[in-house]
Amino acid sequence: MNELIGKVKSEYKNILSQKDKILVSIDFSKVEAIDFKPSHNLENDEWFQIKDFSKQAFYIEQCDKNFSTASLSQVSNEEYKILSCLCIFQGTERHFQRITPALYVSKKTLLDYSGQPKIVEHKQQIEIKSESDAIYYITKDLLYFKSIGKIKSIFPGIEELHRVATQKEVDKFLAHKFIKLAEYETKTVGTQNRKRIADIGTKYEKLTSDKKQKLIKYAKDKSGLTVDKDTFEIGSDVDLKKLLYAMDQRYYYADIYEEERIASSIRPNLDAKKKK
Amino acid sequence: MNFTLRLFLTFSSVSFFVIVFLVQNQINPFACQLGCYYWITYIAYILIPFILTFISLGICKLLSKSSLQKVTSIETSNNDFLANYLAFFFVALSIKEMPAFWVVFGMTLMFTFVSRVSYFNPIFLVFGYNFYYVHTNENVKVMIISKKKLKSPNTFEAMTVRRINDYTFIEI
Repeated sequence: MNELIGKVKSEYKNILSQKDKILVSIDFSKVEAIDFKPSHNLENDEWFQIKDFSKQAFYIEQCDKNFSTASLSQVSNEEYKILSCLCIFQGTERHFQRITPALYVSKKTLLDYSGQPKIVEHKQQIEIKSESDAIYYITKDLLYFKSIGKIKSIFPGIEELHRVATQKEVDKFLAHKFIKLAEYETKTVGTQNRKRIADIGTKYEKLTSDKKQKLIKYAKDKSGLTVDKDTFEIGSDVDLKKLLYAMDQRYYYADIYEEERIASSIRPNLDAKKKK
Repeated sequence: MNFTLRLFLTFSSVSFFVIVFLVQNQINPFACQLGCYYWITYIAYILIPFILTFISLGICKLLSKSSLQKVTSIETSNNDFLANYLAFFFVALSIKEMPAFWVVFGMTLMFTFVSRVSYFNPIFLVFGYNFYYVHTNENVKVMIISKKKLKSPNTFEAMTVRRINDYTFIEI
């Protein structure tokens, strides 16, 4: 039996159940799934995955195989307007879809040509997307998703994986000796750069002082930033992004194509042979 | 649909109230025609709640389904309704006038309808159903009406139940 439940405010409510499948399942054995990394930008045909999802802090009980919809109250007709997400139980899959205002298809006049042509006034309806925002596989204990932003209201706490650095962290990062701010303030740092600081800044702090030295030298060579003695001049969000890219070693030389390159998206290549 | 069904279930559950009143006051419109077989009317009266319950069980098959995967506690409650029913009987027995009957019956119907245990229908027991209070895995207490003998949460098998209301489910 396949079931559909929805979240009203903070509480899940029962909607319906039926024998037929509600959604077409995706065959993830034929899809490239990548362990979540904030530094990786997904291609259209890729998905992020989180392994051992049931052990994560943001796991929700609706993913449990023993979850009974009999525990839920029935949603009332007035509550459909304030649904924030749908959850579909389909075999061993749990599909989650965020509800946005665009998915309500009320007040539409359509021509229905399935039989005698007729004009149909759309009643109150919600579109169920063919591709869910997140899919949890109970048997594999894997969560697949494409964007953290879309599912952070469904799995509270998951946004910690791609968090925005706090003002304190930004201040601390920009206070490094090798950074000199020019007409640029710590308060005006953009969201994307704050996310990068949270990710790359933390990685940098974990390096040995020897490696830190090397990284600064690398940044001098590759980033194209104005360097005054040993300090980088940061005048805008773009400059800061360049510096952060350099600190993440995203500049490289493709020796065969003889081209200097920037990697706008990176992830570990687990299939490659390890360098000795 | 749901409202009508709930009203029907409630009515079949409190129909004994009417029957007791009719019998107590010897209301028998066919007494003249039946002569010494006047008691046939009373048998017909008694059959009414059974027929109503039988029909309402049929209607329950139209209710939406929910799943019950795992329970953490099972408690039988077959006998709990007896107090309610005795109260029904005694009240019905003591009513003599029609206006009083309608007022009391109306109130009983209303309160049974709005209360979440409105479906304590003893005739379900006659049809082989049992009443259980169970705590689901999510620690929500619900009532399950089922023909199965539920004993221990450990041997509980996942079941598909029909939703009568948010707290009452029937397995058909």
